[in-house]
Amino acid sequence: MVTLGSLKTNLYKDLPKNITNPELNLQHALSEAEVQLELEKLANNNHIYAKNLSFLGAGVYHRHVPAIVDHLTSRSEFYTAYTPYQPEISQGTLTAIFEFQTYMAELTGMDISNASLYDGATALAEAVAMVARVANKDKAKVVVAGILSPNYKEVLDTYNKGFGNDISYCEELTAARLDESLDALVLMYPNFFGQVIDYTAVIDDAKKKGIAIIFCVTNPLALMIFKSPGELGADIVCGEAISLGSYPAYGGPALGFLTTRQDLVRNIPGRIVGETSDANGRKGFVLTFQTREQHIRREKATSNICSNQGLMALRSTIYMSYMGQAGMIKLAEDIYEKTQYLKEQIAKIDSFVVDKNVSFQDILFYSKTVDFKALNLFLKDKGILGGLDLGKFREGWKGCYLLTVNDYMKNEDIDLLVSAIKELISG
Amino acid sequence: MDNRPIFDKVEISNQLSTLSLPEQLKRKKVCRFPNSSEAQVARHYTKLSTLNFGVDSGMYPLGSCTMKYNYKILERLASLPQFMQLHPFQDDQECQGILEILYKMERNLSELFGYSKFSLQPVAGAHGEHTGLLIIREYLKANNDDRDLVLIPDSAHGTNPASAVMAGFRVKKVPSDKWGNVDIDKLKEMLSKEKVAAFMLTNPSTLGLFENNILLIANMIHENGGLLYYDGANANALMGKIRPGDMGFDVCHLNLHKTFGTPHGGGGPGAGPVGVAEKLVPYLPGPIVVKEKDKYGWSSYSETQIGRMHGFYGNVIVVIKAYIYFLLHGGSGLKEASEKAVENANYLMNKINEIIKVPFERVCMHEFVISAEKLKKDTGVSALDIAKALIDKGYHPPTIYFPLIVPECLMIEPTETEDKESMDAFVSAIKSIVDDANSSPEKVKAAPVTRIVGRLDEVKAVKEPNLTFYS
Amino acid sequence: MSMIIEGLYYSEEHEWVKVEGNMATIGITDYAQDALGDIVFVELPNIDDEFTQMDEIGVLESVKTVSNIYVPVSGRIVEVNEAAIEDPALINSSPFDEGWLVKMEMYEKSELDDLNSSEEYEEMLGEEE
Repeated sequence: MVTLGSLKTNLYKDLPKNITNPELNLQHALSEAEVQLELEKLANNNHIYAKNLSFLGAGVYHRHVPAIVDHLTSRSEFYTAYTPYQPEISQGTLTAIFEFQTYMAELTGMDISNASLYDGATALAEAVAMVARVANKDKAKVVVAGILSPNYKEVLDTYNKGFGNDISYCEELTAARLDESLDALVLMYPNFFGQVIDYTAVIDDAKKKGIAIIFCVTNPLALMIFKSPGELGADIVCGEAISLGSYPAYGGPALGFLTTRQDLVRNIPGRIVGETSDANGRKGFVLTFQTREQHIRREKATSNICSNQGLMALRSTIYMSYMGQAGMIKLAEDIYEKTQYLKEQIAKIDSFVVDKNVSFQDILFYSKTVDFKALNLFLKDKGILGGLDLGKFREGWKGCYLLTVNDYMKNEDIDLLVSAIKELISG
Repeated sequence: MDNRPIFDKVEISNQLSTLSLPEQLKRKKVCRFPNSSEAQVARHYTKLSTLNFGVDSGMYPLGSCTMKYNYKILERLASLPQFMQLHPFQDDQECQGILEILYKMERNLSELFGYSKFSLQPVAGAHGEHTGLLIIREYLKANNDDRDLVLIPDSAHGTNPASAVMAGFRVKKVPSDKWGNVDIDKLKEMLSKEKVAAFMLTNPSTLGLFENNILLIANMIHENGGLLYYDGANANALMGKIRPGDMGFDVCHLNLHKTFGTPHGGGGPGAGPVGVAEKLVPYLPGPIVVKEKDKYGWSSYSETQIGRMHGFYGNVIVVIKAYIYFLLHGGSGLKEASEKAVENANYLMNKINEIIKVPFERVCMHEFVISAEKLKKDTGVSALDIAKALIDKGYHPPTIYFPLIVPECLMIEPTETEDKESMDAFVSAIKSIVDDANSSPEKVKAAPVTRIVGRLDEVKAVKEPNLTFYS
Repeated sequence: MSMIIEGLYYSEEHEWVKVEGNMATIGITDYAQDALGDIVFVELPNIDDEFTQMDEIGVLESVKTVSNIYVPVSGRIVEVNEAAIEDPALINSSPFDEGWLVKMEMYEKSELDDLNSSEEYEEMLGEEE
């Protein structure tokens, strides 16, 4: 007769004795109340700003998260579930992922989407890795043209240590050399400087030479008003959707995504949900095209990804359902108008040069004279979170400063920032 | 029907922005999003949630996935606004609280698993594997060593070979012996022929068995000049009992969403930190949290680092949850959790062995496998059928058809948070399914009948792909 | 019991070879299609691709498995079964006939000696079952 107690002895007899039960220097347990106090203390050592006075963005935005997103995703049937490998018991997650795929495909103007990737940077690395498969080559030749987040570049380069693709970077779009030997061209839209560039000519040229087009989108809200990558002729779109229904959260968990053309479905990394039916004709959803994935294809899989960012995709889905077509368009317009307003106001300051490109949410400024580090400290005293001093990333970006508007801001908040900058400059 | 997507429930309009933008930049293609009221959204997703099954819904003995109960305090505290609203480009000065948590969690993991340092950047187990293998790759390169072969047991997770290839390695399979251990003779033979970069091992293995020869294997790999990689998928069996670092594993990844009780989120977000022995520390991805005097900050870039594996610092909020889990247990509590997980698995294995034979008659660790091969031969009822029948009995099915080396495999992991009553009820459920298989197998093969859909046609899903609502 | 056709050559990997002069038609056996289940995707080589014996020339996929196709003999691809690519179910319904995979010009007919006769293959299946 088996009892729980009778098993106590010797369950660990297979372990080498000399190294079992080591003395460890770890603290003792705390009660839930003690943990609460400890974490609140730690939390208070972080400094957060009023959201309407936070001018920092650059790919991660202080977007308003409707209460319903938190409420619904905190249902334990969603957040404590596993990956939906057993479809009959996971129709909630599967239906939501199917909606997510539909939303991302619509937003980017593409046919299909996967069920999420880790974040925008790894999504870009996966999209570039996909090029070699699509081109049916051992190593692909890829050019990344325009302004890419330095962190994204680092991730792409790190991933590429294993892949060995030929990747080159070219910040000036017009200097990008597109010849027939190239397999793909990566374009950022909007780019790291918040610029919405008209890529029509370069894409025309690339298409003629049989070069695949990859769009990297880190602020997908922009696609509600600007021409979608699909309309522009993209083959693959990858990016970051943390700003659709999630919090900055110190950069993670984030939400990578990848959308593409229907005919490339077998080359996609990560999970895909599809619709089908049971023997009684009832419609339902399943994970599909699984033979691409690691658990079946192992060393020949399109990616090693297993756990993705499921709950973040659910947040995004609920967010877009709540916002709806009208709400999403209105928010994008609102952000665009604030972007314009901030540009106009800063243009009035002599020592600043304002970006001439079309901007969305993030705005690039240039100043020869202003010390942005000092500016940000000055703003902090006024309760304002200043922008990103781009000079810290690379020499060539010295004097460049990225300011970002958000959902919470009103024109008077922007006025407050502008007058603070003026105050510092006038000394 | 209720599992219909929201697009099917709401009328879609054709609105486009009327903003004055440069013509060639204007979106012309309608973004077909539904416009719903908040009430409609609340009902739709609440309904969808009822079609799901979470750890709170019932026993979730999904082997290899460690579906332990997720303490609610993790959610409350990790979602404090000072964590959620913090921007990753904010100055280190303003992020001292979060940096202190990351620093302490790193120190705790290093102590608990026997490593010099961990990187908390990888966001999933597979991401951790990829990171660990790139570390090995760069380490070998720095030593002008061009070995490029990674060995993997035939019982390994599919992520192992996939990650190895992504890191630029070739892979070869090492067979298991009849006891579920690595076949030492075969390994010896393979090592005599070729230099290996690394051997990736899950211990306890995916069969739920502790690898008896681990010290010998570590020795063999190191003598060959290779590194030993620890897939921490099953670390829930060993916390505080034995450290992978002490067993000779040079690199290790963990799955905090398994071992440290952070929720799985329906497929993520997780966290897959990577720990390394002293000689590999320079190759960890950057940046690393450092403490100087009383201030925390991010290390500056170093030449030897493999680079970044994530756009920012990983799934930081998940790491905070794991830190809370750690505080709730303390060092001795973690050890007790592992002991309880192993005790529960052995209890359940012995009970189920009376109904369906366990292929490896050994003490198991935190999980075990059973084979329905004989039942299938006798009655036609397969591992899949048992899994589906369990759904009707109110359980999430175990992992099935994995590892690949056991025919008609069901892999069962109760975890430490399951009580005796629920395990006994699970055994009764298995018993009644096996009885049904013997008396009326067609009934078992028709399961599940209690859910919104029955078994779905996966062939049709591939042949007539419908991957978005509008396709 | 799986169907086996007399007069064909069989590989250990469950491919069959039908020989007409220098030409070899290659497919998978009834046993193999049954073990795979519903085949939903086929990847075959291009015409004029050259392979040596036991090279991997393509894949067959069911919903949950992927199986490599190996060439039992060395040679050059002269024809691929477009109908099977279009409708992989043909391989299930008619593995020896409409569901053939490729036709090759053989370079080394003596390689056929490495393969099994129908009797030997039947024996091999007996051992597997």
